[in-house]
Amino acid sequence: VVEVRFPAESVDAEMTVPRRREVRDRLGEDWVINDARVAEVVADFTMGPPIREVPATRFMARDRMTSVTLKAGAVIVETTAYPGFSAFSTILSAAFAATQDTVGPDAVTRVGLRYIDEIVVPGMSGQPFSEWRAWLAEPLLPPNPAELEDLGLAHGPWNGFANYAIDPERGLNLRWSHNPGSVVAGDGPLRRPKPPTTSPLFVLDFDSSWTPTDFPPFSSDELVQECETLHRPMHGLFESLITERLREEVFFMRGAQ
Amino acid sequence: VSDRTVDQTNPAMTLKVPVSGDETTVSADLLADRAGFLRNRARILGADVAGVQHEVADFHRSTIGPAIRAKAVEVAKRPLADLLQELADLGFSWRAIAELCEVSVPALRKWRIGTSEPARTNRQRLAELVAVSELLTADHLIDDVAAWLEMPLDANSVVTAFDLLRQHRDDCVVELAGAHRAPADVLDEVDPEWRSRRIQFEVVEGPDGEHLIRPTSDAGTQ
Repeated sequence: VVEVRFPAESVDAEMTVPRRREVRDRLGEDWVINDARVAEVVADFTMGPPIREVPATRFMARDRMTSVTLKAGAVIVETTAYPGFSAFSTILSAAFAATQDTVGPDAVTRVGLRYIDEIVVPGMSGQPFSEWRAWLAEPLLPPNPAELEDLGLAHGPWNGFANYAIDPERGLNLRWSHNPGSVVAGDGPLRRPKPPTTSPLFVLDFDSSWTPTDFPPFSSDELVQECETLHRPMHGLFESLITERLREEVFFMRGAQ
Repeated sequence: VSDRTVDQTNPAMTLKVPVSGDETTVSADLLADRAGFLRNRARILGADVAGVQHEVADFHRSTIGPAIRAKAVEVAKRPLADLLQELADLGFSWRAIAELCEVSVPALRKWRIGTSEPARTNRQRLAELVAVSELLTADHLIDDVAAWLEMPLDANSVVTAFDLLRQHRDDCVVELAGAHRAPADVLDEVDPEWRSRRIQFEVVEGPDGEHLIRPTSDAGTQ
């Protein structure tokens, strides 16, 4: 997921029919236009729910695994079939250029790049937590005191959060969670390449972002470069969090994931 | 996680938690079990704004059922005819009241004219309905309760709050009235299949600027 935010009040956000067509044509012939409602976290959530839904226009690739969503204040590019960063940046480039030329935001306020990875290991259903030790690096596992059983404790689901600084304007939030099933839906507008599972899996949620202190212009080329900057530490971090055995036995068997 | 904190005050509890750094927004429907995922997170970390709000919402939810029941106990002390008249004054048809009390229309008429008494469970249900209606009008300032109940919860669904009452989900109705939960969230809970049954047509603006009806785009690309 890539989300670029811009000042909503600086643009004419109304997606007229010709404007929608123009964005669609920039993305490619085989994209379809949908009306959508997307989640927006409310900054001041003291009244009412913290997440509200706002109207948006969603452009969907024909395979329904990649979408570009335009709403007042942001453009969001999402894919469930990640083709690798360089192929993904081609889509980003088209989406940013279309936004720049149609909506014309005059500044960028935040860029976020987020990967939600589900690690599914066959045969882990019903296995004790300690089995995850074979697949995940130690820091992702919960504290496991030797006297666990003496204390009358058994492991339930666990999760965690770490925040890393890239530089003063950029950071990376890492969340991990042992989950009883898929967190990425298969029944929304976007399809998953593989159906969601209800067997236990491990979720790694990487969210790196840039919040500039000034108001840089909304430029397609520079935004793609910014996404590259945000992407750079992620691959290494991911590799450091999984074991060699997971890489060889599970990922290799399924083809490069 | 930033060092800012937020006070979440509620009559019975106060949470003081750090506000997490801003999150890259994923569209509403990409994450299944979004609430559960966040809620888990919050329980362990106490660090996610949305998650914490869900915790508060959970707490709030757990108080709604008892609040309705407590009010219903008070309401039940009033004369039967007054309860029926109150619902009628709020715009409920006799057929609707009969349906919600799970009795026939003739049976309800006998209650009204006093030739028979409702069974204890029916009377209890009637009191609950009056209690919910009073909460909607008094606490949530809904003027026309009967009409409000008949509106679809979501533009893509035919389910109404009236249907929730029919399923005894009074708690959901009160939550919706107070905007404590999104309609889609309630629908997911009471009718997990609702998305697959959603309305197949939509009104869109055509190329000539006129409105036209067409199958929804989702249906068109299946």
